[in-house]
Amino acid sequence: MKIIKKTLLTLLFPALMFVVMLAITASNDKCYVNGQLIFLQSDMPRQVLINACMTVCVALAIWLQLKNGRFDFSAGANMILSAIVAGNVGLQTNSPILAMLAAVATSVALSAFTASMYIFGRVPIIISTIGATLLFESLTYLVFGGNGVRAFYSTANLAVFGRLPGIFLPTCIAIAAFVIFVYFTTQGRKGKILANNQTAGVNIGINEKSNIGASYIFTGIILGMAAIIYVSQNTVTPQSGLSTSGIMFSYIVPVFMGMFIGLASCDVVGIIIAAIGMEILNYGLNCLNLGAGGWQQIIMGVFVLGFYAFSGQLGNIQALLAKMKQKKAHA
Amino acid sequence: MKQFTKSLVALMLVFVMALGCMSVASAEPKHAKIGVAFYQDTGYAVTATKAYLESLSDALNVEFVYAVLTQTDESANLSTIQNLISANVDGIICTMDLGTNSIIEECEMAGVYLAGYLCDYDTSYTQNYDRVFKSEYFLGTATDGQNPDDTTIGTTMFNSLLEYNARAEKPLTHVSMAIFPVWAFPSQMTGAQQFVEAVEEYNKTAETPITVDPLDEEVDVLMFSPMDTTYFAKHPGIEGIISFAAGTSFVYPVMVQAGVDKDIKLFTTGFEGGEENNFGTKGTQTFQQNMVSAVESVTYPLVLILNKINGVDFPDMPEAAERISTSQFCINSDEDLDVFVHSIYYTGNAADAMFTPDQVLNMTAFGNPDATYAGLRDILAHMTIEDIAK
Repeated sequence: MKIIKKTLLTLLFPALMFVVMLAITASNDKCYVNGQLIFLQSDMPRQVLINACMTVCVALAIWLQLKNGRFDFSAGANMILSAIVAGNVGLQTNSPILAMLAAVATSVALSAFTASMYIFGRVPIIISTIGATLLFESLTYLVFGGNGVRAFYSTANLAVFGRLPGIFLPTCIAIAAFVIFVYFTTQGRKGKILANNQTAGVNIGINEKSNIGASYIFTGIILGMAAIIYVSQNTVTPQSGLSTSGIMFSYIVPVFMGMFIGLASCDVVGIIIAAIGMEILNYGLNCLNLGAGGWQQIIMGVFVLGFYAFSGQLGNIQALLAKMKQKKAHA
Repeated sequence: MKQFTKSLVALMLVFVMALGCMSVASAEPKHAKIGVAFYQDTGYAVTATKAYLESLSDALNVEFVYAVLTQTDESANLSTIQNLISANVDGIICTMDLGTNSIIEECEMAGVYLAGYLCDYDTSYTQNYDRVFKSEYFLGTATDGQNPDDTTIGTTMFNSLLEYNARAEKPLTHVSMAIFPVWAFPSQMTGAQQFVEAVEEYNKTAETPITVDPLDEEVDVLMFSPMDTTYFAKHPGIEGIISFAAGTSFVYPVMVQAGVDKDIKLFTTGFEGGEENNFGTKGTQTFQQNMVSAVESVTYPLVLILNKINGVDFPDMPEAAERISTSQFCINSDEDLDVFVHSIYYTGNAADAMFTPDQVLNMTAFGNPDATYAGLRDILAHMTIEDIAK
């Protein structure tokens, strides 16, 4: 019974999203082509799944560090640089598997570098991750002649991890890496204490350094998966001026939503469900021709703000409801 | 006596040196430093242009410095130009018409010449003609393809479609279009209208008529961001997309993502690398036409600036600066592609350029007294796929 309730609560968000977008698109003439509602065509689930997979990977990488009390600005730069390496390796060897391995190897190495800067350099986390971002971004101009990767996504036999059903492999590996670290390693479990109060955690004998080391290795694996999906879907050009943070932040919304939705289950499920819900919203906006530009930003922004405000005020709302119930009972 | 001999020797030395200097001045071009401000910092066109310019630097005695402009920020562009001026450049080749009013003012104050490349300067041409094109320091621009008042791209696209239909097993009978907003690229709207007219004309006599989906203001106008994923749902049954907007960057990735790249053909502009794998009869056969401007068209602004620096003008130099349409490489078959991959645009190797340094020197007024402006313009009109050396 409890499980059913939890499942229903978890699925509530994407289901609501679907119903709302269906109602909005169905009442709009723009969304009909030859009398058919385009929101309900087979294209929808495919786009939603493809986009959600990418979002889930990046969101998990951000959340893994956040959960351990750190914010990693370099995740975006790490992903872009790994994607460039992976793409070029793939183009030269003509093998998507080697490309994926290259992505993971690069990404883990870069993550280890960021972590060691923090551990051994004793540089505050914000400075070390922003420093790493700038360094990785400059490297994007130096590796492989500064040309990025252009032809990878368009070569059908290479870009299998950017399309259905191949995209599920990196996504599942990323989810598995997250679950293994958080629920099956001591470091992951200790991370909870560190996130709540770092000084207190260190004082009761938790070795923060080994937590950092381990968490960054797992972040590297997850970012490697994000990189292989990214390069399988996009042209990757060299980046500068912290623009990779922008790429990273474009995937951050499901992280915070996932925390709230995950209250009914666990954070991984929350993030996956949040990503799917947000992509349904996006697809609906696309049908209305609001998929890009100012209006999309405004609608998204207002929606996210409303969602956070609602989740933040949930305690008060519950108290209010309880009070009303009590009053009713008295009456 | 010894003193006198010494003085004499010194005097002779000075005389010889002065003679030497004079003779150098008359034979060799003056040393010049030219800033080149690109619209982006990487890509085939940028790499190839740099390679081409560097290959000319010895023969023309020019040193090049590079900068990158933004596509949205006027003041950032102005400060990029100011930085170039502070770096002591004598002339600037600019690829963006954004903030030109203040840029030309800055150039006039510093005595630095400005000329355009891969840019039609349409905003300045239509709104500030007197201020910009009549300025002593603005020398003209080589447009990326045809000028807006001289558009032929719609006809070119239609011809490519017919050529494809003539050789294909399954001719395309249903296509849709994509353009950038009119305020930014008026010529694309004109091109789209041209294309529709050409199709209507063709349908009057054709056995199998071609259907063009009418231009949908909301779906088909790309706001400099990739096409909506719902484009294909909104144009059901299309077999080809005619993208006047840079389809390689803004249409093709979406086609791949939506998994329609095997079923729908793309006719577009902008070669970025990788298209050759899916061009014509190769790979997924998505690309059936691509158009790019030859990077050698940078010769036009370069020659005009160098003439000014060397103080020699063409006898037939027009009074006000001009914008010149350049012919483009139109690649619409496997054969064309095979030729194109030998151009400097694709290889980035200066040895593949259409002009050698000596030929370029010959186009200048100071390197060749018989050179004319009409001659320079004429050269720009002959940069088609047939002109690439195989």
